[in-house]
Amino acid sequence: MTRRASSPIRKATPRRFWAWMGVLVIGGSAFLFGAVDEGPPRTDADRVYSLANNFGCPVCDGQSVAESDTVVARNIRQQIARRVDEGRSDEAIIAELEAAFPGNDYTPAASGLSSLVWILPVVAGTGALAGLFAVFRRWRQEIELGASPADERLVAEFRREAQVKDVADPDGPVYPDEPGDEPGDEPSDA
Amino acid sequence: MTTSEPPRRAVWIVTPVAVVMLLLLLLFATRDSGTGSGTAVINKGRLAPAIIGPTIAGDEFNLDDQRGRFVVVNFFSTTCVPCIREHPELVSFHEAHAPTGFAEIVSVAFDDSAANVAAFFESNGGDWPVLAADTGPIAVAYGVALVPESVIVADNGAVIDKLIGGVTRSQIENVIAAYLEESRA
Repeated sequence: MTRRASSPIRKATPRRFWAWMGVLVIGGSAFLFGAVDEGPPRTDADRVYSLANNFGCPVCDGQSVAESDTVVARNIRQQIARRVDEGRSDEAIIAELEAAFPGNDYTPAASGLSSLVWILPVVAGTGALAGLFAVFRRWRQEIELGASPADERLVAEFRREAQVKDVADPDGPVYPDEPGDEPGDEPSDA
Repeated sequence: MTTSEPPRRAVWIVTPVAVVMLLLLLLFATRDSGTGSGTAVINKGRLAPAIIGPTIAGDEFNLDDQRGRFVVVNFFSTTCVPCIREHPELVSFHEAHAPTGFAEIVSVAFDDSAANVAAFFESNGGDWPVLAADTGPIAVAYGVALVPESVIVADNGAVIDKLIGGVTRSQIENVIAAYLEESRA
């Protein structure tokens, strides 16, 4: 049975742990900032493009209103521009378009089954991070496993006893220090 | 003991992944595709969106002025074959119901020039208000994605129905008759 030496790990863990935590906090903050922050105030043209890009062309196959050059897409783009000029909110503009052309709003709803689109990536990301953390931790423990002074004392004591027995009983079992130490012995897994 | 650990661990990893994948599959399978139908009956039973603007004859048209009679709001284009095919049906409907004040037609050109529209009416007949300038907002308000489309507006200004594709005189009359029957009941 393998015994884990606790002291070396305890000594190494805090520094590495906090280093990783620092990396996670900085990386997470940067990711969050990039995802949430809208940057400097957008121009009206930016808003028009963004709204058009998030609304599907009613007669196209997988194209947004911003990408399509059909008459209806052009009409909707012009309508968005007019509404932006009038000072309407993004939500009001999309609601108006959705009433006229249902099922073309690309933004998934935040309720019902559609909310899984928002929830699942967060759950999956959190699970992946937790898995990575667990794997790294195990690897580190495996690498840093070593004999404690108590273990070394036990081994030394056992060797001493074995040598005493060897002297007293030359025909008894032999306990070499390492496999292959004895001339003619082949290292073996057995 | 040690040989049973990897499979058990694999189960713990694979099960949540499988559940997430199944949920995603369920989500995407039950969602509509990105392309909407664009054929919804907009505002059925509610007040029809405003139509105000100059006609190709130079008059000013306002849908609100038509209260008291049924109105067929016809979206069309002079280059659209079904629009050309349905035109005689509209002429027939107009000749039958406009003189009595029962119904009126207003045509709204969809991405067409006023000159083309005027020439079209001159050669195909039809004596009702036709709007051809800046009609994009009207088409959007009525949810028109393709032409021809016709919206039947009741005498009280509410939308009765939206007919996708070419219409016939009897089709329009049936919609109005059904509405009147429902109203009486």
